[in-house]
Amino acid sequence: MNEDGGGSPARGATGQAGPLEGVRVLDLTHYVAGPYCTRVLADQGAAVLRIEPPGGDPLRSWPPFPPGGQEPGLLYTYLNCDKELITLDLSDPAARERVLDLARNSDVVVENFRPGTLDRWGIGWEALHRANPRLVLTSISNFGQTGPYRDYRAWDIVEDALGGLAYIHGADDRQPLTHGNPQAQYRAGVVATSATIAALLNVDDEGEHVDVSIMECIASTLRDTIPQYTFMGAVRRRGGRQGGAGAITRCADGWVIPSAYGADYSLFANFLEAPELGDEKFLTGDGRQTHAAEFRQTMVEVLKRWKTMEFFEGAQTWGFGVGAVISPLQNLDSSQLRERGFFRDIEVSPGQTAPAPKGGIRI
Amino acid sequence: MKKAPLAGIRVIEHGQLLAVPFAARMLADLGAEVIKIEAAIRLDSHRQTTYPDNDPGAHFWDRGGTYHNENRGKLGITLDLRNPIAIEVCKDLVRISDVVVENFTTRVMQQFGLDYAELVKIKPDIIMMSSTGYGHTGPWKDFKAVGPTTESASGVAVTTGYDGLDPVMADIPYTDYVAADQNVLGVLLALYRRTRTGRGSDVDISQVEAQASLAGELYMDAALNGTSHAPHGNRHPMMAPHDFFPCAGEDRWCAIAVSSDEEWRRLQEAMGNPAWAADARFAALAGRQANLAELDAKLAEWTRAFEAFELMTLLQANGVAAGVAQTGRDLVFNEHLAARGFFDWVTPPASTEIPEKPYSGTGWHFSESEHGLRRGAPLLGEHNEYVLRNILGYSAEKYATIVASGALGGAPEEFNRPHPVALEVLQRQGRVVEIDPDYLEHLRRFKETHPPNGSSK
Repeated sequence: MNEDGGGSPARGATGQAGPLEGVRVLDLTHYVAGPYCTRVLADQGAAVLRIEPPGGDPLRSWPPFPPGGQEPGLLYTYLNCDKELITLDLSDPAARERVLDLARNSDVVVENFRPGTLDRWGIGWEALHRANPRLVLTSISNFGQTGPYRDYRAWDIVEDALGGLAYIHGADDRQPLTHGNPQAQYRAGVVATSATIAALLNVDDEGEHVDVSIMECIASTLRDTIPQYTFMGAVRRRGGRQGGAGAITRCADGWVIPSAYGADYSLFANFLEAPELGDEKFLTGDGRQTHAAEFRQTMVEVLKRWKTMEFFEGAQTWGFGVGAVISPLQNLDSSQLRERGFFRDIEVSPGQTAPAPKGGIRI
Repeated sequence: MKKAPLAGIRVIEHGQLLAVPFAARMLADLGAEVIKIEAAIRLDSHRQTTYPDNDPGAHFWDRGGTYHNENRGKLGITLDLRNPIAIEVCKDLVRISDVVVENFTTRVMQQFGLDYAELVKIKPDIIMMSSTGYGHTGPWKDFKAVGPTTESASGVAVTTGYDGLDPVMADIPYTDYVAADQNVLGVLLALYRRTRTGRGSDVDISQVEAQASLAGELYMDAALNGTSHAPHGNRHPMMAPHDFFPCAGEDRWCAIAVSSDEEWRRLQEAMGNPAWAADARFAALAGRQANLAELDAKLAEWTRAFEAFELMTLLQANGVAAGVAQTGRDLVFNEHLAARGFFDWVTPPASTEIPEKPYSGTGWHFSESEHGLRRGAPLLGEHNEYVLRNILGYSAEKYATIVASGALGGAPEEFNRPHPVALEVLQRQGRVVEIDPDYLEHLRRFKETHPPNGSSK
């Protein structure tokens, strides 16, 4: 992490010129969604100058930590590598001119303060636009810059709730679930990156203000949840995968998904070395439906004999589209991810590095 | 206002299910002209689900609600790619297009002679975005994938589920959407590069990698600390309480997340300062974490008396992060989303007999750029003649020859008529919590009282 800011452009994760080489980004973000947006911009070659308050981004104190437990935490480090960092108290009126100066030399400003905060500090859209008419300002917030929920507070679990994902996530006899890591914020970071580049493509003499709502990023991606009501009046609930072919099922050392959609089940039984699954009554879709409980119980017993990766790679080699629950620890050794060069080393503390995902885009 | 960001950009979509069709819809939202190519003889399964009133109707393939939601704003043509004339039509389209997006398994485009290596010969600056489960290279490149299996392979699913039990994924192919978001990003990055260098690109997106990149801290934690991740319920290391709490009514829940001791004091005030909450064990985060089961149970006793939205409003008024676990129905009638113009109200062609309905929008709003054309999803082959005659400029004779050759594919009539499971059965099975027989009237009345503003801001 650089200390007080020089001006040399950052390079993307590969060290080569990325598509955004030469794009200058002023990063006024904290926590996850904003920093991930600017992290992806940096990955793709943009030069990111990041401003944190004197106390630093509060995310620095979030776990997990590197061995020894020192801050910053690994989430902070993952989101903020490859950026230049300066410390500035944006709420101090003296900082205003400095920010406007930096904005004059930037193509993009990304921020995720609560709506209205930048205006209160005199560095909102109007002031930034006056300082640099071609600037793109991307504002990411929980609910957007307008509307009755604008000032509501939220974390990921609240976004998953109001965005409609939680209601269809979990068992039908228990409370809804949220993801085990901040997926909603991460995803909004990706959507915000796309919106920023779309706005950059459309800059003429004027830039614009992009308003990204995390709740809407979730609510836009629920497949048939909304159409079930708008087409049929039905309100769907969670638990649909329980006990089906797509259910996560325990195996000898973890979990797999025995979803051999459209497969010849006598072959699948052969692969599994389980003649009991090749029984006549299980060979057709109708048969498996009629004897659903018995089929499921037989499959559960068979899978106990299998180890995760032997089942997954073996069945896939036979052509069955099955799945496996693979942990990050297991994936670090994945031949697939290794061969594709998916990991890169990030410095987490002086002299200590950790492999981290490079990002999903390969151009 | 200015033109839409992708106005003048033409995108050819060879997409099925979600990851690419939804990405192409987002590109259409941004103003691109998207031409969706489908095979009439191999119907997308999203065309075959969620029918109006659960009734497939005569042309069932044009009545699927999920299809309509994910494919708005596009033109649609049918081609049978096994026919060499259809391949020539594809290539002619590529010659006048900017972007090709596809999510076939890895070898399909190559078999059709439509892979990147072939397309650059006829359109040197073409951008091709391929979205697959595991990527176009590596030992797993030919593995079959659907959203749930890539989510489970990404390292994210193992962290999600009830404490101490098996992982649980959401009832949608979540990672398809994660991939769709990055498919859009990949296309935009390639377009940005093309404006500066004039060069096209081959964009290879792996769903597993797209999802794993949204979990960097888990990978670093595993590498440095040897952590073996497991489901941990709704617990959060920096917040307590942090869970869904029951409310009045059937299966109603409100999320509550307390991220500081100050917020805990505000929650106590919202509850009217009950004696149990003043317990010193709960005053600081560490104590609330250590006694979480007891705290959650006490809190749930209090929340149960409230209607979910009433609870959310009360807690937010007290500065506590809270949100109702909204159903599909709640979302459609949500005042906040309506005020922001989140839903697009469109009417598909009359032959579908689908009236005007709201469809979910996207998470971005532009202050100056126009939204792409707002129109319903294309019927199967709806724009065959328009695209071939008006966009490709084929003569009437040439078009007739192509039709006669069978290159536009057979008729979906060959398919068996689907027989959807009755809603009452789904309700008995617990898949549906409620059926609103007056949903059309409720939609109509909501639109009257909340006129859509027709713009994205």
